[in-house]
Formats: sequence, structure tokens, C-alpha cells
Amino acid sequence: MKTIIVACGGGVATSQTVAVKLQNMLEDNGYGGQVQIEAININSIDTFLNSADVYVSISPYGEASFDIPTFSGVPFLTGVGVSEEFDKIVHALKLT
Amino acid sequence: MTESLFTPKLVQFRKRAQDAESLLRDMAAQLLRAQVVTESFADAVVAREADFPTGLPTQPVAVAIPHCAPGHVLKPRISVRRLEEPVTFREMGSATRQVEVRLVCMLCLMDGRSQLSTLQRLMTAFATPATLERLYAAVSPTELYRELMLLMSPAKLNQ
Repeated sequence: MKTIIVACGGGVATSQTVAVKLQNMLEDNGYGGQVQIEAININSIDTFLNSADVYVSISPYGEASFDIPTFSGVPFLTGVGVSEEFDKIVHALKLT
Repeated sequence: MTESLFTPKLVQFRKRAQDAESLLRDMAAQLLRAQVVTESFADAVVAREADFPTGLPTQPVAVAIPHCAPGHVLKPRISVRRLEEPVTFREMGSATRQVEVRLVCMLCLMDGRSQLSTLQRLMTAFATPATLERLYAAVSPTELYRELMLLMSPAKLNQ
């Protein structure tokens, strides 16, 4: 099972909304059972970086570099560029 | 029956705002008077916006969804301002980019999970240009409030 972590500043609203949107898109494309998504607070990110395969960021710190593939969660909120970002994530996860 | 996150008094039009911070403080002041938030909310939402900006480059108008930690919220509500002239917000997820925002939804949430479906619907609306255009085209606060309520109604689930 692959793991995606989504992080924003508070973990109250935006990271969960992005996580649900991402989950829906994965399921729509037949990848449902292969990926789990965790919406986390940016402060906990170090704990999760070791076990996650992909990091979807909606905070400015996403522009810093991490060891795992990092993508933007903003397209999942705005709809702008969402297919492209989704394809990049699927590719990075090597989903079949 | 759960209370609605939107109420007519909290949906307002403004011609313009001086800047993002003064708009956020104005909205917070109304929320404080309405006993929706605590006194600490105003500073918290301004501080959070500075660290984790909420401007979104949606089409045809940019929106912002300022919010802060649930500890400053007494009742779950969303306060809305439709602006004729845009106000500059920093873009979510970016340290440098800015967006010219015309619709601000200040989210007063106590718990992201229980309000998730409303948030989902709101974000889907923002991500759908035709819907966002319709919201922004409302000619009065009452009409905007009605459009938002329609968006949240269960009937929309199948659409």
C-alpha cells in the first residue's frame, strides 16, 4: 500500500479537503485499494516523511525540498491544473 | 437538524477593502459581535494568513479561505464578503505568488471532519468556473446567500 501525506498549517480544513478529493480521483481511476492518504499538520511532517511515498503540499514550506517526491495540493482545491498534477502523482507512485 | 454554516447577516458585499489584513479584521469583528468567535480569533486568523496564505487562483475570480485553529471558534460558520474591487492575498502554498481576490470565505470551523462535506462542496464550487461565476454574479447579498444555501442542499449530492 502506497502512502500519500497531505499537509497544511492547521490540518483542520484544507489538507482534509485535498485528501478527500485526491482519494476520489484515485478511486475514479481504479487505484482505490492501492493508496492510503493521511492529512497531517505541517508540524508533524518529519514523523511521516520516513514512511510516506509522496508528499502533497499546501503550505509555503512545500517549496523547500524533501527527500520524497513533492507535489502541490492547490490544484485539487482550485481545479486549475488538477489533471496534470494528478497524473504526476500517479506516475511518482508507480501505480498500475 | 444541523445549523447551517451560512447565515444571511454574515454574507455581505463590499465595494473595496483597504488590504487583506483590514478586511480580515473587519470580518472577525462582526463574528466577535455575533458571538461566533472569541476575542483571540482576529489576531489568530491574521497570523495564520501570514504563515499559511489562503489565496486561491480560481477562475474566473480568485477566492480566499482564511481560517485559523478551532480553539478560537464558538460556533461553526462561514462569513462571506464579495468585493467589487480585488484585494491582494498571498497564494496558498507559495512563498511569493499573490492573487487578486474578489470573494472571501472566512471559515470558522470547530472540527474539519464534521464540516467536511460542506467544505468539499464549497471547494468544488470554487473549482468549477461556471459555478463560481454564478456566485460572483449575484446582484445582492441575499441572492448570494441563497445561491450558497442551494449549493449546500442535499439535492445537489447527485449533481
